[in-house]
Amino acid sequence: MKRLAGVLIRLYPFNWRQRYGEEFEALLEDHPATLRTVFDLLKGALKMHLNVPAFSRLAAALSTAGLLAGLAVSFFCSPRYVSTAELSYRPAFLSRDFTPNLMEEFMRFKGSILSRTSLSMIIQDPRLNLYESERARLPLEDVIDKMRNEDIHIEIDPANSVPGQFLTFRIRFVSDDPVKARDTVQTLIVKFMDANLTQARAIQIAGSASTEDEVSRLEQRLAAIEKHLGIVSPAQPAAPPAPLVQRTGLNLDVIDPPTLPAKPVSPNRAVFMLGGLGAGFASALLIALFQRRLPAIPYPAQSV
Amino acid sequence: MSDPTLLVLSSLAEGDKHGYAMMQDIETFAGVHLGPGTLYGAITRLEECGWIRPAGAKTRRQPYTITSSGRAHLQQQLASLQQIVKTGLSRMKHA
Repeated sequence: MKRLAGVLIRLYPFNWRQRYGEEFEALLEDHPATLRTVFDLLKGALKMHLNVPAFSRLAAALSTAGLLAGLAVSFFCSPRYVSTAELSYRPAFLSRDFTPNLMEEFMRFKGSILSRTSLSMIIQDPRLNLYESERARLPLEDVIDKMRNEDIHIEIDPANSVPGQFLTFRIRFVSDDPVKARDTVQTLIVKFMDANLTQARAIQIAGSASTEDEVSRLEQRLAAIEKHLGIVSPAQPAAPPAPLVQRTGLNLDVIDPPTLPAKPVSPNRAVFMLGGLGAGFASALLIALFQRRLPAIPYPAQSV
Repeated sequence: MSDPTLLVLSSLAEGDKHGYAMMQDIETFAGVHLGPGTLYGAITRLEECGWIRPAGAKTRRQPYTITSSGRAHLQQQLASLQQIVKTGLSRMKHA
């Protein structure tokens, strides 16, 4: 700690160290070195730099330059628009033998929608015409990764979800074109609906098959009993097939349709400007630390 | 009263002291622990104002002494503080 404190003295302005450095080191030798001492030295060094007129001017100039540079850079960044839609997912109870696990199904749907095949279809859809410039210079795999990891966000809204009853989730897509952002979210909703419908049909087929097997087995048993008892049953018309339950994505509702973003979410000019300001000030500090001699500081002891 | 410059002047009003002695003295009479950075920040400002100066020849443990203008400044500040304390205490009594 003592060694660190000794190193921290070097953060003080050069001319100040010339005047007070030796006695300041002697004080640190006597004083117990703690973490508090380190913070005190850092604070003291910063104050000393700010007291030096040359540093203040340098810091003000570089901070202003950084602020303006940040503002200029923000104009070169392409705007990013976000479209959002909210959906809810409820169990449809398509089969008595099947109670869906909402979270599991949601994750399965999400996985299938974010699959390579699904995303490559969306990317190459001529109506959407997404990632035109990226596709010209990057392999499709990289564009898919970008879309999956950076631009599509599918998140559950836990505040508006009840486990086992219904699940609310949001789909967001970030694009440099507001219309493309909205249309892509719309396409993703359609894909969710398709996946849901496919799942519903699969359940129906599985349910129908098992019911038909059971009916057939019962009819055979009844015929065997009638034969055993010598009962001749009149020919009966074939029973009409069981009415089909409508299974057209009933359990997926669009609560909020995709929005058409009016304003871009980025670049955030204030953040760019603050970043530039901070970078400018940090540069001034670095210059002050590495510059051996700033213009003379009027420490009175120099004339003593 | 936690202004480091006033604490340093009060400490030196008793006699010449070097940095570490000032820190210990201030901790004793005011219960305030000044870090080395804060102490030397105050010493730098006081010397710039001409209220203290190094005492004797330059050594590693450099003692400082209060100047006459420093003593006058301290007297003025303490009188002002005394007035504030007096007024505050009297108002507390009537509250």
